[in-house]
Parts: sequence; structure tokens; C-alpha cells
Amino acid sequence: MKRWRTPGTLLLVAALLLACSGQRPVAGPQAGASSPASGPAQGGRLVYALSADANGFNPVTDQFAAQSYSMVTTIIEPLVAVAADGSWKPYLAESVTPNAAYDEWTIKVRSGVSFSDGIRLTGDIVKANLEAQKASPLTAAVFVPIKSFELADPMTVKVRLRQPWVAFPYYLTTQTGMIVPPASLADPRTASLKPVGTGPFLFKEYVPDNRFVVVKNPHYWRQGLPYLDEIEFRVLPDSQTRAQTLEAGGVDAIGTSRDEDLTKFGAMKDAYTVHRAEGMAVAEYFFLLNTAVPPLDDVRVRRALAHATNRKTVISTLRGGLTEPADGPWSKDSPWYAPGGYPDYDPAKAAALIKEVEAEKGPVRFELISTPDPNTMQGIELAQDMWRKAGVEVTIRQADQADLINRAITGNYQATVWTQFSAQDPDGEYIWMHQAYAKPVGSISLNMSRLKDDRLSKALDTGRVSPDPATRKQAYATVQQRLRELVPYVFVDHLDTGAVVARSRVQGIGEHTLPDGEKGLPLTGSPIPYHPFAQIWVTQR
Amino acid sequence: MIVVHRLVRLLVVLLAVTFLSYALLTLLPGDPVTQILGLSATEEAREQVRRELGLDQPLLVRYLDWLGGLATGDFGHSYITRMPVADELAGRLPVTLELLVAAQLVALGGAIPLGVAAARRAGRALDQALTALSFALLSTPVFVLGVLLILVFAVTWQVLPATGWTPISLDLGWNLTSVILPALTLGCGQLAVYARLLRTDLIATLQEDYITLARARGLSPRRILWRHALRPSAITLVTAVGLNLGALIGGAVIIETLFGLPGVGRLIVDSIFSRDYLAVQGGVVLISVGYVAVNLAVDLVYAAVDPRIRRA
Amino acid sequence: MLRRRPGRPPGRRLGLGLWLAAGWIGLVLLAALLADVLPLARFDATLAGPPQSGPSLAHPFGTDGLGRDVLSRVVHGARVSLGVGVGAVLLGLAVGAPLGLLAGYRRRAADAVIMAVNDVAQAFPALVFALAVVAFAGANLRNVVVVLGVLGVPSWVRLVRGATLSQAEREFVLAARVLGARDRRILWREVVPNVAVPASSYAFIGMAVVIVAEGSLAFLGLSVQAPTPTWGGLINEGRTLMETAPHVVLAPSVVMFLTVLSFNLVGDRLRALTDVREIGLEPVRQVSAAVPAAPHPVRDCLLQAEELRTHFVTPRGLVRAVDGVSFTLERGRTLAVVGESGSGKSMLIRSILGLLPGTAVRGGTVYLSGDDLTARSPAEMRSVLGPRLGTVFQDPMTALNPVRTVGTQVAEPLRVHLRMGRRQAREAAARLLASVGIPDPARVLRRYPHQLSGGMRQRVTIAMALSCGPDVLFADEPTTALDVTIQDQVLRLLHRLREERDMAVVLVSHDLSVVARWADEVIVMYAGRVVERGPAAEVFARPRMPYTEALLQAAPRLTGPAHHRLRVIPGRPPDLADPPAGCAFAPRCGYARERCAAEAPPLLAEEGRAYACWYPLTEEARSIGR
Repeated sequence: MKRWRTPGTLLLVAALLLACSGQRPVAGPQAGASSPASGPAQGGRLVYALSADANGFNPVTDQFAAQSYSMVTTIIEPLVAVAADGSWKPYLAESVTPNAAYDEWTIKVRSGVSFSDGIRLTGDIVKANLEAQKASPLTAAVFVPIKSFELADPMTVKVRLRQPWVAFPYYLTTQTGMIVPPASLADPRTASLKPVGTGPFLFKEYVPDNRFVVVKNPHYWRQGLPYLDEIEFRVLPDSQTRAQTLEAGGVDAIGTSRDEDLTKFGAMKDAYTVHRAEGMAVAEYFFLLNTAVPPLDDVRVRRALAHATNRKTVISTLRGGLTEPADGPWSKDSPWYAPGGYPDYDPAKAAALIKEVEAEKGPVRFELISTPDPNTMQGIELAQDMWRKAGVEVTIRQADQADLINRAITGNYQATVWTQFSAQDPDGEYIWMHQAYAKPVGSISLNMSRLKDDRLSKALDTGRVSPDPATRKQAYATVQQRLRELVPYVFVDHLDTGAVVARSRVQGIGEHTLPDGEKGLPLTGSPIPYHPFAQIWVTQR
Repeated sequence: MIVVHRLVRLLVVLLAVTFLSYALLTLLPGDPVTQILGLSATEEAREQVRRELGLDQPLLVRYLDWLGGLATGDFGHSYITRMPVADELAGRLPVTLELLVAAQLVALGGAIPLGVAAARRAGRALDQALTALSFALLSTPVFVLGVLLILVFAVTWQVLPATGWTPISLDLGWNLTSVILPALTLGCGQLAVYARLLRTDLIATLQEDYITLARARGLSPRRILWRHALRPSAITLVTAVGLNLGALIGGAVIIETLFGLPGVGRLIVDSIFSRDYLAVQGGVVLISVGYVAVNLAVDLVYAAVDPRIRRA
Repeated sequence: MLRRRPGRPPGRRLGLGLWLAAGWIGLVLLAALLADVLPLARFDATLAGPPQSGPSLAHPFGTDGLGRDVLSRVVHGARVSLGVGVGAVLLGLAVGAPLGLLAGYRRRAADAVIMAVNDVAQAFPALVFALAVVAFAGANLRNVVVVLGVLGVPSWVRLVRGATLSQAEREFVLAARVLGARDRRILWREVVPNVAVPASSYAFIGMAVVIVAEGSLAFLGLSVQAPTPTWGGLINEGRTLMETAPHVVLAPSVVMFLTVLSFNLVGDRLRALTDVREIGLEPVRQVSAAVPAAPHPVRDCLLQAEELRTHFVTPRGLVRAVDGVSFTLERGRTLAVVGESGSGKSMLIRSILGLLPGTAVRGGTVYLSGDDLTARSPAEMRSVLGPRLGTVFQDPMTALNPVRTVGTQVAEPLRVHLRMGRRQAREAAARLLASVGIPDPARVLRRYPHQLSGGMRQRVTIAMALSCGPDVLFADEPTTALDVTIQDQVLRLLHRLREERDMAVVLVSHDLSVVARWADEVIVMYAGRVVERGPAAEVFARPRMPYTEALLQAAPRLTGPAHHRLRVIPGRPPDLADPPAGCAFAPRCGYARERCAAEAPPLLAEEGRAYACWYPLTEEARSIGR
């Protein structure tokens, strides 16, 4: 019997030896020289854990999710960026100016910017990029209002629109405004795997579902940047083991959307910093109702559901009390927020409404679709129980992401849980709410609630074309009012538990400045936010 | 002869499995176009992509098309990542293989001593304790075991990396440390199954005449157990290991997700979820070939372990 | 020295565990059935208590992340998990077992087709299948059972086929087939009961695997409709709370573990009741004071057995396999032990050698050159086994380890006992093989047992037994499994070796023609006792005990006339756990009188012979009996 103790012991010893065999190897140079502790230090390496891999890195052909932006923006930069106050500011563009009617925008390209392959950034490259975006089936829908692009001079591109479009520059802050060199446009497949751009870092290595490594671009056009020598993005899909890896010291920072992590790491202020997304950049968590099918075509049922939903309970159980209840697509701290009119928690009123409908049409029952992950399911189960108390019989159906999205856009659902509305400008939600995008059940409809409301749509049109901020604010107030009245969405909360948690040696997350000196928007995107990496640095131990 | 026979069998299995999975996949609700284009694409854009990918063709045409490509070694391109499926598989196969082999080593390394000890003292306290232990391992789902192991080894003791994967090409030592926890997690459940199997089989073997005769020759129980009884009993174990290895290639997905390993299992599952048919098909081919190959290997191992088989 | 109180069956010792396990299963089943009427909180009622609160009076298992009662969820989860576990295993068995039986029994085309389909099924990615079923048919209990059950079918087919294959080659099945029994009958009567043992063992493991696999499906979102709880699902849900509220994951885990363990325990015990086999690596228990042995002289002879007893404690009672056997044996002599199978001859040999199963209790004494073997520890005994006592068994096929070469096996005792080097041992082994008449020994050394004929194999086992130059050779039915022509060669060989090496031989046989020719002395055993003893020629020429006579009449004579009719001894040997009160042979004895049934006859010595019979046969009686 004593004999078999040996192999086990050996294994453990071997494991320990290996574990102690030194620094995790890196394929490139180690941390460089450090500078005084007072300011940003040059050099160093950052390991940053993401929740998912990108579906390719080509902004023209590959759909970008939040994690894609984290990785890609280290290499490829957009024409426009969002400042801390939520306004747009030129980035690769030197300026972006509308004409008086807002139906023509002039993009002046910043001079002195080069791609890492040596080619200088010029107007015709920008034009070629925008044309490729307009032609791409991926992004064509966004650029529908655009008539044509025109090269006014070697460094200037004019964008002619079919209609006034006030918020147009915001669309240049995302993948539709990201600029790649001509070589990438010519060979999109290579560009999907090996991104090239003007950014602070250069592509080094990509192992799908594992890691994406970038190294410092020594010829970056912004002087003195970036600070880091190398960043390794690690793909760790399981949120629990991702947090554990941060704790174990395997990574320097993680993206997370779990309230447990915010509470836990937030309490360890000396060791970790927690950065949460806020404001317009935050998506809303809500129940999406199909207003084209019974019983949810009856506004009384929809209102009853809102009345039956105790948002505070959801927040206290599912979010650890960390979020704010939502009553519309924009949060209270947003300049576009208009208060009032949302059907608040009132179980008695909910039950009464349901009774009323029941008397007319019989029992109210429908199916609530969810993706099967436990976190989503918990929200669904909570809603089911709350709505059951109001007299609604809800059955739950699980469908995977692909199935769910397909059902949502084709209208093959009654209700589902949804997360959306994180655009920087309210106009970003145009296609999701406008009646022009509401198609009958069975055909593809971007307005997934299929709510056709004239006043709502007119207000969205006004917001799109009117340059006057006050008029726009009024228009979006109408939007909020109509949404609250017609309840195509049962809002729960502003999902601002999306955060980046970093070890305290990582400095500068959410503190970057834009090329012209304005403070940039700290964190963008949902459910896990992203941020630029050029101005992040690590203190040396 | 046996090779020809095996090749024919491989072809049959391959055809049946790939066609069935192709059919099942395409019948799943949802389609890859939405996954590629996202929500906001127009109907025309969707149609265009559908045409480009050949999704407008009938099922059989698409399947035969794909099969034709396969015959020339072309697995097609992933719809989502646009990478050649063959490249994706080639990049991931070593990871999954290493995980599986390491897990089997853990499982066998634990199961053999435990199974032998339990069989030797069948019915006694040690046997019952080992039975309880193996059922405890069996009833602990891998997603719990993994989290627990990380908690102990990576967070508390900080002796092993929690997640992440270092390719062998980069550093062997780190590669091995990064595979220990996943292999332990995956191997423990197998360990329990193997230990039970071995115990049962050993008890039967120990009742054989040649064991009594070995005792009659004055050989020590230890020698009898390890030299005389283990090898005949190992046959059941070899079968189980072979079947497992084949089936596990796709089943390692939870481990790969937990530990962030870029393996084949994750590729297949992610591809199913994103309706990336060709990538799934590539994985399916790999599993079928793997299954048949592993079982061929098992037969060869059989012959080595049990000379009686060599007659056949 | 291990002692065991007699009359206590081993099953009782484990009774508590069994009852606890059965009780637990009953409790879980009951809870699952009565989940709706038990005074529990609704399993889907959120905020029944504060979320993630620990165990309390109101919520004995605490509450989960949504404030639901964990106890209620575990109880309701039992319904699904047990349903899935039992359902999937039964489904897998119902589909897989008949196919496996068919494939293993019929072979050829049926086997090829079934295994080809099985290959396809096994090579098919489980997840694609699970996803497809769930996506089409929806996620509910039935479909999860179907998915897990169907996924289990290939393993069942393989398992049952493998077990059937090995059973189908067994003698009794072959015999039944030759006798023209109908296949269905053979399958049902002979194969299924034997396949059931490995199958039931696998079923309990399978149950555990299925219950856990359901959790994995839940991990991937492919299990039953929420909010219906399942154990696997509960564990999956709870794992994110492992650090803050461990009870949420612990409660279902522990319940699941206990259930799986209980199922296995009960299954194990049920099997043990029908299957009394035990392994034989444990030291024999020696009864020293419990049965006080009569004082006896230690004679100056090679081997002496005094009042040797071997009893088995079984659930049916005490079995006296060997019951007070004494004999002596000199160098250069052959002692034959004869009797029907089950008379205790083989057990006598094993008893002398100390090779009894752990449940056996041995009494009496064995002396080897005056040295008490029963007082030796197992380790001390090992130095005698091989070097001084050699053994040959009945079936040369099962006596040799099929997976080791002849050379390794023959050389092993030489290396262990005589500490020979590899090469030296190999050379010695070759000489040994030559000495037992094996041509080209160097080639045979490299062979595996299955490559040799039966006679060759028996020669190899004899060579092994002789390798260390033993003083006594025990040959337990050495020729029974061999061809008639080979039998004679082997016996001749044994005789020659005895002469060459000046050994003593103990020859066990039920075949009296064998014994009559080669033995010097004979003891006849019946029901664990010696019923007649004496010089071989004497005993066979003039048996005194009717049993001996009956044996002689039942034996074929090679030299006898062709029309000689064999007489079968009527009746069956007695049940050793419940032997008749008087003479054990009385119920079958043609000469039995009242006294025979009432009183057991002692072994009476007379003119160098001994017999145990109240009415020993005389010449007249013998002729009457005929």
C-alpha cells in the first residue's frame, strides 16, 4: 500500500516545482525602464481578461461586440470619439463639420497620422473605408441615409446625406468609423485575423479562444504614447473562474458584469480598483414584449406587467442592490431624460387590469423566452413569480442565443428578456423603435416589439433631423412618454454593473484624454464595458 | 486486411455521422446570417450573405458540396471567423488532446492504485471508504469541482495558474502547469468510474485458478495483484479508456470553458450556438475519425495486453 | 490471528449501512412523491425568505439567490433527478441490452450491423444531438430522459454484448446449444442471469453519471423547463454563490451524493446475496482453541494431517467442507484422494496449503517433516509453498495466466524463491520444460498459454510446480480436462517424476481407474469426511464402505468389456450446510438401515485400513448388492 503513495507525491512535487519555476514566459520583450512613480511609467506588460473572443478583427466585415472593441481599438482607431461629457470629438479626423441643414458633413482628416505598415492616412483612404462600410452587408443598414462620399481635397471627405442627420458623427465612433489601411480593404480575410491600423499597438499574436497579444507601436502618432510595452488579452468565458484568476494573480484586470465581483473587489480597495460604466453608455435591462401577438397586443396586459414588476426586488436580489431602476431607455443622469408616467409597482392595479382582460378574453397566459445561462434564468424566474402573483400564467422557454435573436427579429415570440439602448445619442435607438422598422410577424423587423406608434416615430424623426438641442430634447421626452404609456418594454434597471476590475498596479483605466486634450468617455459598451489602452500604465514593483 | 476493414468502417461512420449532424444542424432554428450580420442588417444584406455562403441551396446539395471539398482536404471556411476550418481545428486539436491525455493519466494514475486497494480488501472498511470517495467524485459536477480546485490551488495556495493556456511551443513547464488543474477536474470523474470498473474486474480475476496457483507457488499478494491480476483486468479498463477518449473530445467543453482552454469542444459548441455549420462539421469529422482511430488503437493495445486476441 | 465468532453470517456485519442506505432511498423517494403535499414552501416562490440566507428554522437548508426555499427545491428536484436517472438508465437498458444480447449471441451479420450502427451512434457528437432534440421537442423531463437515455445506449450495447460474448463461450451455454435448446430459452436461462451482474453494477454507476450529466445539460441550458429544479441545475445555479452562500450548492450536492452512494450500496449488497464468491488473497483464519484438537503424536513422516477441518461461515449457515481429516504420507509414495465433486477433496488440498478464501475457518494441524504448517504466518507459509509443496490444478487453461508468457510464469518461482537471475532462471525453466517432455522448450518459453495444446499446458503447470524441487506434489484432478490419450501420458510423467525426485504425490481424482493404477494409498471422501482409507489395491479390490463400491461401479474401465454398464450413484451429495443426522451417505445407500440415519459411524481402523460404516461390506453383501 505504501507503494502507491509515491506516484501521487511525485506528481504533486512536480506540480509545485513547475509552479515555482519562475515568471510566466512571454514571447516578447520584458518590462522596460520605469520612470518616477509620480507620473505614468513607461513599459510593462498587462494581462487583461475578456469574457469572449472576437468574431474577427475587420471593422468592415466582422460584427464587433464589446470585447472586440477592447482588442481592436488598441490597433485600429475611429474617426470620432466620445468625450467624458457624452459629446463627440474628432479623433482620426481633425474636424467633422455639418452644413447648415445637417445633410452634408465634412470630415477633415488629421495630418501626420500613419498606419503601422507605413502608409499615410489620407482622405481617399478614409473615403475608401466609408464606402466599404456602406457596401458591406454588415453595416449597410446604419448608413442607409448616406447618399454618397466625395473627396473634396486630399485630406477632406464630404458625406452627402438624403436627409438631415444630426447625430451622424456618433456613428463614426464605432466600427463603422474605424479606419484600416488599403491593404486590409483589399484583403478582408487577412484583415479579419491580423488587424492593421494607426493605433498605439501592433498586432503580435492571436490564438482563437485563447489570447490576443499586441505590442507597443514605436511610431504611434500621439507623442509619448502608449505607456505599455505589451498587452495580452486573455479569453476566459466563465465569469466565476475569470474572477478567481484575477484573485490568483493570473491576470491584471478583468471585465465583469457580476455584482458579486463589484462587491467583493470593491471592498478590497488597496488591492483592486473597480471601474463601472455609467450614463448613456449603460444598457437597459428589460422585458421585450411582442405587441403584435396576443395577449401582449393588449396595452392593459403590458401595463399590468409593468405594474406587477417590482424593480427594487430585482435589483436587490439579482444586482446586489447596486443598480438604479429604469423607467425608460435613458438614465436619470442623461441630458435626454424626462421624468414621469411610467407604470410603477402596484400589484393591486396589475391584478385589477389582468382581471379586466380576463373577463373579456379569458385567462392571460404567455411564454417568456430566455437564454439558458443561470444569471438570465434567475431574472426570468423572478419575473415569472411576480407576474404569477398578478394572475398571469407565464411559462418559460429556453432558447439559445441564435434561436432567440431569430425569434425576436421575426416576431416568433411573445416576451423575452433583453438588454439594449446603450447608444451615446438617442438617435442611436432610431431603428429599434421607429414604426418604419416594424414589420408584420414572420418578416424581419428591427423594431422587435413591433410597436407602431405615429407620435413616437414622428418624435424620433424630429430628433434625427433637428439641429436644435431643445427641440431634440422635447422630441425624446415624447419618445419616453409614449414608451411609458404603451409599454412595449417592461424596464427593470440600468445595467451599470458592467465593470473593469483591475489590480491596483494598473493605472489610468477610464482616465484617457482625446488627441485635442478633452477628457474621453471613461468606459463604453455593455454588458462589459471597454476603454482605450494607450494611456494605461503599470507601476513597477 | 484489418487496416482495409477499418478504413471502410471509418468511411461508413464518417458519412453517416456527418450527414446526420449536417441535417440536424440545418434544421435547428436560427441561422448563421443573423450571427454574422447582427440585428441591424437589412433583408437584402441577409439575402446577399445567404447567397454568398451558399445557404440558399438545398440541404443535400450543400452537404455534397461540403463532402466534395472534404475529399480534397478542404474543410471549408468558418462563416463567423472566416478562417479555414482546417486551420481552426489544427490550432485547437493539440490543446484538447493534451487535456484528454493528461486527464486520462490522472484518472488511471488514481484509479489503478485505488481499484487494486479496494479489490484487495473487498467489502472491508477501506473498500467502502474508497467506494464512498469514488461516488463523491462521481456526484460532483465538473463545473463545481473546477471552481473548487481553482479556489484551493490557485487562489488560496497560489501554486497553480487558475486559467489560461500556454502552448507547448512557448514553454513546456508552463504548459504542463496550465494543464494540471483542468486535467484534475476532468480526470476525477473518470477516476471514479475507472476505479469502480477495475475493482469489479479485479475481484473476478482474483477468483481465477491461476491466481490460486500463483499463491500455491508462494508468491506474495502484492506480486500477485500487480503482476498476475492487473494485466488481465486492465482489458476492461482499456475499453473504457478508449471509448471515453473518443467521446470526450466533444465533451470536454465545460472544462475548456471554465479554464479558458482554446480546445475543439468549445469550437464545436460555440459553432453550434452561432450556427457555424461548417466549423461544427469539421469538429464532427474530427470526433468521428478520433473515435475510430482511438478504438483501432484500443484493439492494438488489447493485443498487447491480452495475447489471446492476437489470434484474430 | 483473526478470529470470528461462528454462526454469524457476514451479511449482518454490513446490515446497518445497508439499512441506512435503503432508508435514505426510501426517504428520498417518498419526499419526491409527496413533494406537493409536504408542508414545504413553493419551490418557485421567490423571496420566501431573505435571499442567500443560511439554514434556519423556517428554511432548514437556507434560501437561494432569489430567496427561494432550498429544501423545497431539493425535494422537488429529487423528482426530476431521480426520474431522469432511473428513466435514462432504464431506457438505455431497454434499448441497449436486447441489441447487445443479440449482437453477442448471434454474432455474424446481426453483430456487424448492430455494431456499425453503434459506432455511428457513439461517434456522433452528443451535444449536437442534445441540442437538436431540445430545440425541436422543447426542454422538458421526457426529452431530457430521452436524450440521456439514448446517449447511453451505445455503452449499454457494448457492455451487454461483451458480457454475452464471454458467456456464450462458456461450457453450459455451448452444451445447451448443442443439445438443441431453443435460443430464447438459452438466452433467458443461461445468458441473461450472468449478464445481469455486470449490467446491474454498471447501472448504478450509470445512474450517478446520468444525474450528473443532467447538471451538465443544465450548464449548457439544455435541461428541463425553469423554474423546475433539478439537482444538477441547483448545483449549477448555486456555484456562483459558492463563496458567499455555500449552502445553496452544498445542500443539493450532499443529497445527490448520498443518494447515488445509497443506490450503489444497496445494489452491491443485493448482488452479494446472490453471489457468494470471494477473493482469495486474505490469510486463512485458524481456529485454535475454539475446537480443541485431541492430543496426537507428531509422526516421523513427510506429511501429516491431523483432524483437519475447513468450515465456511455463509449466510445459510456453517458449511463443513472438510471435517476432521487425518492422514500421513511418506516420501516416494502416492496418496490418492477420491470422491464425487463437492466431497471436499479439493478443499482438503487447499486447506493443507492454506489457500482458502477469507471466509474460511481452518482447524486441525498439518505437519511437514514434523513442522507445524498451520502455525505459520502467511509470509512464512510462502517460503514453503513452491520450494517444498508444489501444486497442479485441474484445468490447465485456467491454471496459467493467459496474458503472461510461459517463460515468465515458469521462471517466476525460481526468481522469487531461489533468487535466480533472469538468464539463469530462464535456462532453468528450459531444462524444466525439457524434463516434463516438452519438445523445443526454448520456443515454448516465448509462447502464451493459449498457443499450446491442453496436454502441453498441463506439462507446463507441472513444470512450474516442480520448479523449486518440492517434497510433496499436490495434483488436483490433473488429467480431468485432458484427452484420454493425453491423460495417460501426464500420469505416467507424474509417476516418473516422483521416482526421479523422490517426492511424495497427493493425487486428487474422481476417476478411480486413474487412481487404481498410480496410487499407493487411497482415501475416499464423502461430505467432507474420510469414509474409507487404505492401500489402493486393497480398497479397490475389496471396498468396505458402500460409497466406495458405488464409486467403483460408476467408473469406466478401459480394460473392461465394451458392454460394461456404468452405474450412476443415485441421489445427490448432501447439503453441507445442513448435513443428514447420521451417516451422510445413508440417504443414497442401498444398504442403509435405521442406525445409519440416526448415528454417524466413526472411522474404524482395521488391518491397515479404515472405514466409516456401521455395516461394512463383506464378500457376500457385495454379491447381493450387485
